[in-house]
Amino acid sequence: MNEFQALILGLVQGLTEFLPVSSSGHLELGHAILGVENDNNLLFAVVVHFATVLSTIVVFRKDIAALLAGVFKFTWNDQSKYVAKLLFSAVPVLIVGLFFKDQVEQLFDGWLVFVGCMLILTALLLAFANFSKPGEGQISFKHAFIIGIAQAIAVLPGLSRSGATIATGLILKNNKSGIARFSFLMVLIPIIGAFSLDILKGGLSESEVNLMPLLIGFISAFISGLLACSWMIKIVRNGKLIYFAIYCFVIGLIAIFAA
Amino acid sequence: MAKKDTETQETGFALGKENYRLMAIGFAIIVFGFILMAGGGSDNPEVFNPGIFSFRRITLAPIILLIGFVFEIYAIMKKPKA
Repeated sequence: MNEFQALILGLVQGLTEFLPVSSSGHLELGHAILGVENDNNLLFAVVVHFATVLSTIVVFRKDIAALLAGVFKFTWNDQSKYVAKLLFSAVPVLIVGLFFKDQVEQLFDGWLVFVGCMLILTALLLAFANFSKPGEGQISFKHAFIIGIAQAIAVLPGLSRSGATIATGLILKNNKSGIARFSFLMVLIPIIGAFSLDILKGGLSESEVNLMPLLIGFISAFISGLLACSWMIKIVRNGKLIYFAIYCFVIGLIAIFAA
Repeated sequence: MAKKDTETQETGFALGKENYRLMAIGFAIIVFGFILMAGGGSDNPEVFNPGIFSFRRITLAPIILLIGFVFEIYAIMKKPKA
């Protein structure tokens, strides 16, 4: 991977991690279009994912600080309950990560037809969420778990994690701003956990490392992630998911025919 | 203007000067980790380079990287002094 490819793929990751259009699907498409070999993808993927985690922390840092302050009071207050819901929502994806990791990784191997089909499924989900009546409910433990199941299914390449979780939350009649916030915060726990494990197991060091593409990918993913995260919060609040549904549908069709 | 202030507060975008300084330090640690992880390849695919599994690449570099990333989170979360 050269510096230019890293810049483009970093931008793609940063933008698509938050917008409901599937970051993994777009990264697969980006690899195919730019002709990037799969030799160093794990390290690059981990680095750009962590860059977007940092973007999320920057955008939600006041919320995270308030949640941590509440948790460290060691009482069953609103913040502790919210963090417990976030942890509860991570259970399905933890199960997928522990027991189905190999099967899922096999799908990340340039299988463009599958990516295209999943993008079309994302489009349908977003369209359904867009036209469903908005609600004002709060996220319960049951809803947190159902949204967590949506997140676990969205590990499939082409199925948008933010799209699936936000659409599920909206279909469950939760409040728009609340579900956007929950969707972005819920991903921090599994990503940081998986990222720490990948680093400590030494798997990242198994291939040759080129410094510049990694740094360029990290910076471009971080900056584009900051913009996309703030943008997405406003999009969900204003209920404009239909444009992303149309986009996912078109890109899905292109992926299927290009394959 | 008032609307803009509200939006900035809601998204919590702006960081203090100290946050940026700490983030730069964290970034330098990450770069150092990547430098330690660099190399390990072989010019000839027939020749095995034992350097790919050296202590520097397999143990030291990942730990430095992890410290760098944790430091970045601290840098973002640290409350700027009033």
